[in-house]
Amino acid sequence: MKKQQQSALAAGKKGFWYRLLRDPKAMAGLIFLVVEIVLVIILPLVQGLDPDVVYADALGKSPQESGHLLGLTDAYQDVYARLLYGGRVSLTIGIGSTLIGIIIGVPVGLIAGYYGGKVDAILMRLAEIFLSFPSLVLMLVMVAIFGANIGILCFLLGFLGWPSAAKLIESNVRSVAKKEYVEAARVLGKSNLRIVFEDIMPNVLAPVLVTIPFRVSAGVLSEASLSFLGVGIENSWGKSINYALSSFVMQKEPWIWVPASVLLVATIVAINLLGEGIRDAFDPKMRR
Amino acid sequence: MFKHAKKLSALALSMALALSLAACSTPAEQNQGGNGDDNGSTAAQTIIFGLSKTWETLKTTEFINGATHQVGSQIFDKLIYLDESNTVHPRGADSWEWSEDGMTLTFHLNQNATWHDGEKVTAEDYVFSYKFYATNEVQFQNRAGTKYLAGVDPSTGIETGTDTAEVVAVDDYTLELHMNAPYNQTSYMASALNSFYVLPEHCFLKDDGTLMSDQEIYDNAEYWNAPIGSGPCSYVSEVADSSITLQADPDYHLGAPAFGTLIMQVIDTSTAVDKILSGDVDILGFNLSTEVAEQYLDNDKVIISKETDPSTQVNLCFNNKRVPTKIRQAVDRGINKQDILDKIYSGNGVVNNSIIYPTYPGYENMDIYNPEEAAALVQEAIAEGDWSADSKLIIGVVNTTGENAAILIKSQLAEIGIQVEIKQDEMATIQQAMITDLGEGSDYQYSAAIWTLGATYIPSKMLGVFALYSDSLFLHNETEEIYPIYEAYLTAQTAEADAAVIADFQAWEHENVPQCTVVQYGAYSATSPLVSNVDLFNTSNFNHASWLWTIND
Repeated sequence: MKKQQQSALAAGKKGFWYRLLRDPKAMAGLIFLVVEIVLVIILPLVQGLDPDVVYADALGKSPQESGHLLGLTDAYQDVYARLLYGGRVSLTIGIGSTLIGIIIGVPVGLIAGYYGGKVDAILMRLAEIFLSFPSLVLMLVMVAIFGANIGILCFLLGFLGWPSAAKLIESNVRSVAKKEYVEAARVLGKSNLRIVFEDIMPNVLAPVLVTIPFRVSAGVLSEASLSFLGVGIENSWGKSINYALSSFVMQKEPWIWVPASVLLVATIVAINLLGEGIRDAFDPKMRR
Repeated sequence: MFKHAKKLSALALSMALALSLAACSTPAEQNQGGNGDDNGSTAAQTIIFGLSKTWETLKTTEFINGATHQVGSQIFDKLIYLDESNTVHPRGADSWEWSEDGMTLTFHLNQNATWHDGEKVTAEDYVFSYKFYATNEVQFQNRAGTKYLAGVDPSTGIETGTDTAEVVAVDDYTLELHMNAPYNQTSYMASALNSFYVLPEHCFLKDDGTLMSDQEIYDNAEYWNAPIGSGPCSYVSEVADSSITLQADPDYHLGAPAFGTLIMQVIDTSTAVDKILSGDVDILGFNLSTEVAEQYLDNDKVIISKETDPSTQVNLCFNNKRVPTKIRQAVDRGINKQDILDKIYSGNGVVNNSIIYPTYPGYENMDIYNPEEAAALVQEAIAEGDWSADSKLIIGVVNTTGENAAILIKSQLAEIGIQVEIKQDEMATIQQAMITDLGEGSDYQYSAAIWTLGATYIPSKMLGVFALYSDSLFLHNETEEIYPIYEAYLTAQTAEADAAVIADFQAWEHENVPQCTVVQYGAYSATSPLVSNVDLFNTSNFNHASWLWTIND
């Protein structure tokens, strides 16, 4: 039975990768993201970029006057350096918050779905309480209390994201827990913990895995929103876009905010394209 | 039939919605006469004056914020008014003179001044007003310069006994103020009279003809909700926290304003110029940032005006309990202030190393930029154990311009060995954090803040702000040292004595650096082409001479 399960799983995975690699939009998104991640990590090191350096000797701020590729900010800091460092911040928070949300949400959902009853009721009500909070307002309050740095934002965004993962897992676990192989595992004397993580978890993770790219893009967007509102991280895309709140900057100094805006949109689109590709590859019936 | 009824109902609802939207225009839109379409008569013209924040009250005893004074100074009259160059001009008084000993100031009132209900303004009204402002029966905020009067506590402006404030009506149009000390006359004329607004005694008489008690006057809602003043405009109506409508007084003794109606309206400062361009506002009662103003210099639909005498001061204010003297000195000498002026303020203004106005007699502009000396001071502070290489100057900023200036400062101070951290927050939050800072050994959030404020030509206000209010303003200055200088200034009777005090103060300031003045930049503001001769930069003097504004065809 287990061998049949495993070979079915293996066959499914082969089909998944086959479908994914042949999805041009998903691949475009993936390639964009990989290149972007490599560039934001490597380029600042190779080029010796520092987003905080002030180029006080520059003759002007525009790319033409300053001699810098993307010009300088109103504080005479390099826009190109801030763009790359901003990418690090945004992607780190997007990925980090997703991982935290899943690390917390998956075990909670597994336990709730497997044990059911009061445990399920308590954990799912707790999840619903978290889901009912207006997340942006809550984040603003938490940032006001704890401050804003990459670690804190990763944790806050991840902590606010666990309920959706937990509920997704919980509903699947409840149906998988009734399968014969799970019953058989119990009869064979396996501990509940081993049953949950060895027998049930592999069969319920798929829906959560499909949501990973969308969670990453939501994390990137949330961080950008906080920084745009002025309460996020200094060197981030949101902060660069925040400068456009000044009508002068928006109209006369587009080099300060346009690159970050374009890159933010492109990143979100790329992640979502990849996410849709993963979703379709997991379940071709969901393709339109 | 029902099919048509549905369509007809939808049409009727649409028309009703359109009609209701047309009716829901703002007072500005309803009163907009911005294109001179009132039979060519400027006397019927409505002018919209944009306020940056709401006026708090029309009760003169509670006038605190600038917007409140902007509104109040149109309804109520004063003895004198200051123009943008801080020159004193007659207003309620035609002329004045000091006694030889400097203890008595005599005003000769304008005999044509009338209240908005037609009654004459007399010296008795001024006596009544001063005594009311000095009352010890009621607590309120604006004592209107009474602290200089004999019979009044100089620290509070409250009379020391019953009816002890020495103000005398010599006759109907001659007013004598008896001082409790021989004050610096220049300073007195330019500061002490600024927040004084004359009130109508006859409006506070009871039915039996006797005067109300001071508490009754203070609580007289019937008066304060629709006050009768003697200013260039009379009160008409208001929409709380939004707009107030005033009517020009055709009998104003200095000349009737050229407009008919003045609507003072709270507007969003970030879209101020757009409002002028769209015809919704005619005059801005606040300054524009340099970068916004410079966009519209060539636009003929808005008139951008620039201050000829830069008066907006940017100070890096220290918590003196937290930042040792040598580090403060190092910061003052290590910042390239000319660079900040050029890069952040487009070169519009002057470098200023003092809170004293650069054009004030006796002012000395010391050229103090010396990064080598600054670096040496940092090393001395470290060697003495007052500072460490890991210590950080945490600078609070409130807006993007302040943040950009702080970033430049950070890079400059890094070269002399001072680490800087920049945090953005509301000024009230930053100040509160610094006020409650317990000093060395305790946690803290900010050790300095960039504070932009309107500098005044007369030193007493700046000295007062940075000395008298030091603790409440987060500076925690050594006020014991500054008080004698402040009092010496207040009583300097001659120009030489005045200049000598200023020199003493600047020497103390250079040595102690309680705050590091960076630049003094020239503000911009704007009007529509409809109006001219507007004293846009008179906000800090708490008056706009609206009777001098002209309306263009």
